[in-house]
Amino acid sequence: MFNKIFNCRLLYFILFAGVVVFSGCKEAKNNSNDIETQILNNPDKIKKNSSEYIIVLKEGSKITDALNSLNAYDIRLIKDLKQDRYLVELKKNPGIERLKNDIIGSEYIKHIQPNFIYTTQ
Amino acid sequence: MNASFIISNKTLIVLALTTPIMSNVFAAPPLSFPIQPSSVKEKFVQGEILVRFKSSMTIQAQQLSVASQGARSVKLVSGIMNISKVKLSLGETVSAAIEAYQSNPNIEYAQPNYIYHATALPNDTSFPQLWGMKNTGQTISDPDYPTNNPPDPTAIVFFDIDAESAWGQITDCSSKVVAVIDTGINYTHLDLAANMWDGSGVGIPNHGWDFVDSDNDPLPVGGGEDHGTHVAGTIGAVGDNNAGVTGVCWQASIMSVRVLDENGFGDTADIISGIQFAADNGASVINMSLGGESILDTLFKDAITYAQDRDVVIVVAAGNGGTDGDGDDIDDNRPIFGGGDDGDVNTIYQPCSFDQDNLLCVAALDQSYSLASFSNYGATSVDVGAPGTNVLSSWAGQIITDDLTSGWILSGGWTTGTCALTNTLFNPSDWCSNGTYANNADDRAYKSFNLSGFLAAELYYFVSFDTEAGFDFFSNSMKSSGGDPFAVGGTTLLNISGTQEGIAKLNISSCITSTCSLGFRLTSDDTVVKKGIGINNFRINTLQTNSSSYNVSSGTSMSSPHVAGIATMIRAFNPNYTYAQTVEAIKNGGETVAALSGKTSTGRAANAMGALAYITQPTEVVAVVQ
Repeated sequence: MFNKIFNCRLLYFILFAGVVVFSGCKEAKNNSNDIETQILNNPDKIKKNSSEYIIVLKEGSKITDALNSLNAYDIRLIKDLKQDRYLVELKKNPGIERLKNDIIGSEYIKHIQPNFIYTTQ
Repeated sequence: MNASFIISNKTLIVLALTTPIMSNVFAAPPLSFPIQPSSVKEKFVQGEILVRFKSSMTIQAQQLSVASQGARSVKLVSGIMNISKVKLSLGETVSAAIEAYQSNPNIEYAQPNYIYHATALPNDTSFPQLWGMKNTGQTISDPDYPTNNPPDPTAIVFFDIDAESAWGQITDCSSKVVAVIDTGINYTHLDLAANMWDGSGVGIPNHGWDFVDSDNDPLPVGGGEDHGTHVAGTIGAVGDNNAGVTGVCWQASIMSVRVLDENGFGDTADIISGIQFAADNGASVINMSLGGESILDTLFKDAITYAQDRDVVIVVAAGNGGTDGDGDDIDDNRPIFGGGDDGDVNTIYQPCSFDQDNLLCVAALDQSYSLASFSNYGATSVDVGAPGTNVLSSWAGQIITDDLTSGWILSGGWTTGTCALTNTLFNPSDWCSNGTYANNADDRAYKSFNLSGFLAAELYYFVSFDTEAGFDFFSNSMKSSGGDPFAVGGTTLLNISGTQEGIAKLNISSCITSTCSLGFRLTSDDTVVKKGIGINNFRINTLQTNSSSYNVSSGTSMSSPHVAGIATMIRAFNPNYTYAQTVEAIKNGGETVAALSGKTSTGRAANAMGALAYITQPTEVVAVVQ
């Protein structure tokens, strides 16, 4: 158990620097286990990016027009990635499949995809 | 190939010092590599051999003897030693001739006419630890991958990227920019500073860009943000400077592109921006020691194409398998995020699985050139292997270690001692023999550390805790003014309950004082007790200006920069070479490695000398013959 461990590939065991304060009441016991599992196995960054998407505009389109077409999801522009690409965050996240369907036939958006996560190896 | 033709690098060096028949590899026509690229060990002149006749033979008798075997000519090399050079009949292979001449009773022995070239070794103090550059069978100190680290009896030595031979041709790659798209690089590191890209002329004063924080300073921000610095050192730590390590390139122009944060995570948006930045600012080679699994990341793939259109070679890591620690076949498109196999056939491991021609994906080899246990592989996706275990390279800051045995103020059940041969801080006192902690505990253990002068700091340790979930807690706190970190003025870093073990990495940059107190606490209620807490491998990772630190690390992240260094070397050696020619040279100039057969598209390990030798000699280069 206590072999020397330091390796890039072990990153997924990291206890991310969150402060978790549990209730002292006995009823909280089962729930606390669920929370603990989330923290140990799901790095913050993954959760953060689950509602981020990158959209690519059709040539000649304006970002303001593109955002209007996704207003139903309470969209927030995060970053201009240049070359007609924009990083957006959806406060109401419908998921990528729904979004892909939404942009079929769009005048302004050519492509939408999740903002995927990558890690050191 | 006749096994007797395989000679080790060490043997080559000894012969080079004693054999008068020496020529530059590029001066000896024809090069064998384009025709028989399966092994760079075949460094001998085709169509001729050397034979040593028995001393009783006259020159005339020698000529008659070889003529009877169909030789075209025989030329005396050394009368004293009775050595002659025999030109073989057309179509006769060297290996067949050796076999035939060995059976000639007039000949003591026959051998290939090996090709030699100038070699060079740097004087960097830690160079003897760089087995990937020159494998002498050395034991790597403080390894994190013990398998096949001598004196491990299973170790087989002498496999490396043949850097020494390549350095006889070129050490200065600075004419070509190599971008490291990664976490930040500590560009003030004493072994990197002189080899960083100078972007000041184009308004980029700090050697690159930070896309995570959207500014022009890609310096790491966290105490544990070492990855990019380590990768950069393998590509281009300053060589022959009497200090530290050397990169594949002794002189380099390294562009830092920060797209991964202090925890090593990044996203599509920053990565594609980083690739575009590197390609637009003159990078010829990009290293990306990163990866992830998802459905097709179209925009990431498009970014690779963007770089290809600008003649950029991109070298990437094959990935390190999953949480089980075992490498996966990424051709089956079923690795889980970070590895493992989630059974989802719709996901692919990226960017390694992208199919553009400018992309080289690299698996990790250990010190015996076995596939590292953690390394992903793929007969289609992965191209070559390279050293990826126990790689020593530059580190962003000092590592402050503590063996947990002295200076700790302990209360309650906290005890320091040895469990399973490892120094450990534990609670209860009989934790090693599976005791249980006390009810109503408020047990604390803490110690002060001097962290003044560092730019950032991260607390790192391994913990195993087993407490009553939701009621008994394991806590970790800090206090910059010293004293009990759980008292007023302390800051809670972690407060967790239940059963788990793993590595904790906690940002303590707000505790950079000369009296930073760090502590652990066990609290319990009045019912149910469990095994408690054990802590070891305690250390503080720092970030510091002008770092002179180094550390050993393993991963495909470490194999990729070996190849990126070779790619940069090739492009500097012949500035006219395209991305396609560079990739071809690395793939076809590699060394055949049994462990990579069926695991990579080439079955080869990248080899610096083989790659250089594969390409046509550039006309502007004057070969040096020793």
